[in-house]
Amino acid sequence: MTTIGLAGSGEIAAFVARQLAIRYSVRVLDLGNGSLRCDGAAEVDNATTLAKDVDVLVLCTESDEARDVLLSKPEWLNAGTDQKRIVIDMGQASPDDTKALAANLSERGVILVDATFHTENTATAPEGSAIFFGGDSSVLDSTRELLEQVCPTIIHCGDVGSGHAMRLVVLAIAACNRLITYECAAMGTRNGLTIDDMATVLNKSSGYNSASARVLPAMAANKRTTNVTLGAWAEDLRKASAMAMRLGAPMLIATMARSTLDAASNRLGATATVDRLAEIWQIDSGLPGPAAA
Amino acid sequence: MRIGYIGLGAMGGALARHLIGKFPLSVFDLNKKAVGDFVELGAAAASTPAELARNSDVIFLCLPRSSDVESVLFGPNGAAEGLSSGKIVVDQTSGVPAETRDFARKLEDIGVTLFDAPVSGAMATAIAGTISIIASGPLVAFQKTRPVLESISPNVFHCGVRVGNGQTMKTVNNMMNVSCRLATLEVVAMGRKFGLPLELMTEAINATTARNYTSQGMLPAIAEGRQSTKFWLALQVKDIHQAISLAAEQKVPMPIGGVARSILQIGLNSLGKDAQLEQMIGVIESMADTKFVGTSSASASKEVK
Repeated sequence: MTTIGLAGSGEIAAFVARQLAIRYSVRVLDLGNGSLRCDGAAEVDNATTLAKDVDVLVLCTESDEARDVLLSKPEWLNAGTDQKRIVIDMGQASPDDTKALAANLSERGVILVDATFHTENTATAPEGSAIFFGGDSSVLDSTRELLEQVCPTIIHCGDVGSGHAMRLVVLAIAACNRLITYECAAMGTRNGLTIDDMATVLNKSSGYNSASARVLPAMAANKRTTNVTLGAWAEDLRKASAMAMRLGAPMLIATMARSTLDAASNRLGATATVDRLAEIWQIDSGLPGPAAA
Repeated sequence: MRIGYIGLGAMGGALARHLIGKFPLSVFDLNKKAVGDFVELGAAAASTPAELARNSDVIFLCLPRSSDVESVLFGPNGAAEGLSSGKIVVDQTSGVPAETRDFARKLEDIGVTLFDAPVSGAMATAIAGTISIIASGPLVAFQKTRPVLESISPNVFHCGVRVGNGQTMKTVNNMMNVSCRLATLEVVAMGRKFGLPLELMTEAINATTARNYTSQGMLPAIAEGRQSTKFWLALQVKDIHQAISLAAEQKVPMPIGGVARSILQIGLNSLGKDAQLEQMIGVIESMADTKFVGTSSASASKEVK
């Protein structure tokens, strides 16, 4: 049976651990508060034990620092194997950093690929979710079953780093969809429209977007649409902005979205969910509320 | 039920065509050729809005601005001169809600009901008869004219009895559409600079929570070299100015809408008053110094080290 070693922390890593443990022998190194513990996964307390005799290593860290700590001293990666080690990075890092790391690790017999997992809600995944793979197609072929266990939608984006780049594109637009929806809904509400009417009409018209389809009905019913945190989104939008600056792309609206998310994260706290952006718009627009989901 | 239609421009003409053969139809427009085309199809030409109003039970208006609606209704030989108690005016203009409510109040004095029923959707959906019609106003008049509206498109919504709510909804819809459109294009331009192919980005966006009307319509069209919109950029700017004004009147911050408005204004200033919305694709490309299709500029860093 294939054995997988997973190191990481946070909601996404916990989801990946649970999904993989359904089908594979899974060993987890929890870098956070214990959220990776789940039925069928054995917990280890150091990287060397994690890597020993596993077939594939998966990283799903919440921060670049945690990933860099693991990959800057890669001796543990080769523990107990003479074969080329495959490491799948399912977190979100800078595409350029990932490329550079992959080149370094390659010299040590380690194949690093990125297979970042985009979802706004692990409770409703795989709806609206996908894995963006960057790396050699032969590695994708050999790991596809494993990745499909996490999410059946896998898009091969090109060389290593391109999965991370694609996720930043997707996330930036998804964040804009959501912020635009709150902003426009606030304007409509203040001008006499109901959320119910907006949910009905806008989602059958050219104003439709994925956020309006989920957020407007959820606001009317006081339900949640996501378990992603403001801190996580703000961090990822900062990476998208940095990539735009490096490439010389203006990205005016997405940069505004980055600022808005940073401000919201500072106001409500980094661990508040993205749904609570509705409160910000209600308060800032002078609407009654907040009706937090 | 005798119908009169005033305003046979690109949108009004497409909507009015669905009424030919279904209702006795009179038309009026300053463009004689547009009127002539309708006459050939069986409609009657009215020489003034007043004459059209005298010969119709329900009058539809589809004009560029609220100021045009005011002129057509209340100016010399305006429709109000031919209207009488019990008649209905349906305003399909993307107008200013407060001004439309004023028009409705004035007409109420002579026993005429006005309600708004602007449309939302691409020109292709107007022609196909699937466009969204977003009405608001007194229910009795709405229900009476519903069969006429449904002959234009079955997608008819009623957003409350307050006149102008339909136009507000249309404005909200326009703002969402434009903001998402420009956000999608500018982020995809960044992706192109990294070297990601447009087709692959389109697939990724549409598979996830990033999808929107633009990713489903305009991005595939760009990849296939097709046009996906047919709308004057100047009118789009007017619509967005209206949205920003509605927000400002109610003290609602619209930071993203404000940026979207500015990008559109840059486009209009650069391209001129005859530009089409579709040309914003080229504006976004030039702002990012890239191309959505074909060879993109190198992804090398543009930063000065």
